[in-house]
Amino acid sequence: MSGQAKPATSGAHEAILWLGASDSAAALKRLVAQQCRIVASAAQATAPLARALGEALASLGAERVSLIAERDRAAAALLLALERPEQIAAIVLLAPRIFDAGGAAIVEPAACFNAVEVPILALFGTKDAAAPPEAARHYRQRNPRCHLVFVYDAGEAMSDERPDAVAELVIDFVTRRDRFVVRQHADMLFR
Amino acid sequence: MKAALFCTSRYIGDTPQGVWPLPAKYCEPETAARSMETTLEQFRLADQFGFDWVTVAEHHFSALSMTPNPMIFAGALSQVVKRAKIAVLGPTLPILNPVRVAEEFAMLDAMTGGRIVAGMMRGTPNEYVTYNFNPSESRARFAEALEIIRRAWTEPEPFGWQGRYYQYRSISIWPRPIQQPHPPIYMSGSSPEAGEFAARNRLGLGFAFTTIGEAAKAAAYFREQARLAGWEPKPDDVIYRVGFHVAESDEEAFADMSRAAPRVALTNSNAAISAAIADTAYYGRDVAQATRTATRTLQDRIQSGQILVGSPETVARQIARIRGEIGAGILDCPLGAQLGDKTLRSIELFGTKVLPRIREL
Repeated sequence: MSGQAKPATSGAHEAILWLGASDSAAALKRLVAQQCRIVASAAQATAPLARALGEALASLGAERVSLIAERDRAAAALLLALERPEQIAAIVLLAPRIFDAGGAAIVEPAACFNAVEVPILALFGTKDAAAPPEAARHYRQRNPRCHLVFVYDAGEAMSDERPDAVAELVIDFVTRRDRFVVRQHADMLFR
Repeated sequence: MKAALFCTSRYIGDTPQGVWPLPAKYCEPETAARSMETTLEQFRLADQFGFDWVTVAEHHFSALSMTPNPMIFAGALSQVVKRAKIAVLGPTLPILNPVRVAEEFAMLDAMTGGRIVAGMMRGTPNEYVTYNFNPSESRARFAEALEIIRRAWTEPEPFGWQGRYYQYRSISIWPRPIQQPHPPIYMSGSSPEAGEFAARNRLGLGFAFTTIGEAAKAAAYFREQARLAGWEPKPDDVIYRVGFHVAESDEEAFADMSRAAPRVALTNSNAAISAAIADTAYYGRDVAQATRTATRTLQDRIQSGQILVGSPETVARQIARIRGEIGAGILDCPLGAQLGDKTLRSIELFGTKVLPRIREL
């Protein structure tokens, strides 16, 4: 199928910590779980919980995890990445609300956004009024390591509206990180 | 009111009529080259005689229009047409790479100091055969491609696109358009869907191969939809396309037209393609469209606003009716006949004698 990420030969089944409501994004999680390991989901991803998760990961000596953060949970993902950068492989922000369309900070860790050294992918639905596409540019301006992708025709429920489109991006970015900009999918029609 | 000269770069040699695709064996390369030079000269005259725009369009596999890539022709025009705006009406979005379209328009805008008008076309059914696309997906492709192009023109940072039909990981076009935030955009169509789409997306709307009556209804519907969407289209947001031939007198103009080659529809000349298109969810069977393009007498066509023929005074009166009934601010005028020097004279008369009469309409 066109646009589908192939399983990577190395780094497949990356570990994912999902920051989002447990009852949300069911279809998206199912698709991502086919190629990645969702090791934990945290519905109430507050700053203290993010700290506790970081401590737990460190004490276990666990491998690095990638963070998938839905909407307002982006703040917790940033905190975790700032405090435990060695534990975090990549961050995917689904319709984050850190900066508004004018570039003003919405949440407290916004000022530290440029200090995050982990590769970030921020997704914005083209019809999302709460996390508007016009806000996207400010993430990249603050942190050149942040990749922006617009999810066409998606509103406030990007994960439910276009789960296959979002899953392809999440899996590819978690698996290949910055290298996801180069297409690996083969387009040959016939042998 | 403003006017554009629309040249299709028609092949000036003899070819079979009513065949699509027209076999390439009929193309005599030197005649093709001469045809392109003729078109460039016609556009140069249009610029000299005061036309507001010059228009090029995309069609494929046909002797009736040899600009499969109108952007290339517009590139040449950027060096020949020094004053008029250059309207590309337009690229057939569903069969093209939208990032490329955004880049080419932006290039042209930079090359012309911001004189580009960007038409975005969905294309006639046969066009999908050329690059092998499914006609039933053309509307969805068109809508998505247009949104990519607008983003590509306006986003200051590199961005990716996860669409339904298009996927990009990193877009950041150079140059940006000179006109900010971007060149004026027009789409085409007389259907209610076209009017609604243009209103929702704040685009200009063009009417082609239709009648004054049909276009007047469609224009009124477009304005009504635009008001619902919170904006008021200006006269320049509506284009009406109508062929013309102007001579010193009505008698001469009519005599010229009787010598001109008969009019041939550009599309649907292939029965198998027409049948296959009808099988898809493309237009359905559009009886109104068939009626509009049916062969009629010259008088009928003048009366219904499908062609302008006569002396400058007569043609100005015909245009006043179009302005009054449709409210269009831009007249996009293909050549009514290819008659060598007569056609050059027609361009001159339109520019010097008709345009001054319609300026205040």
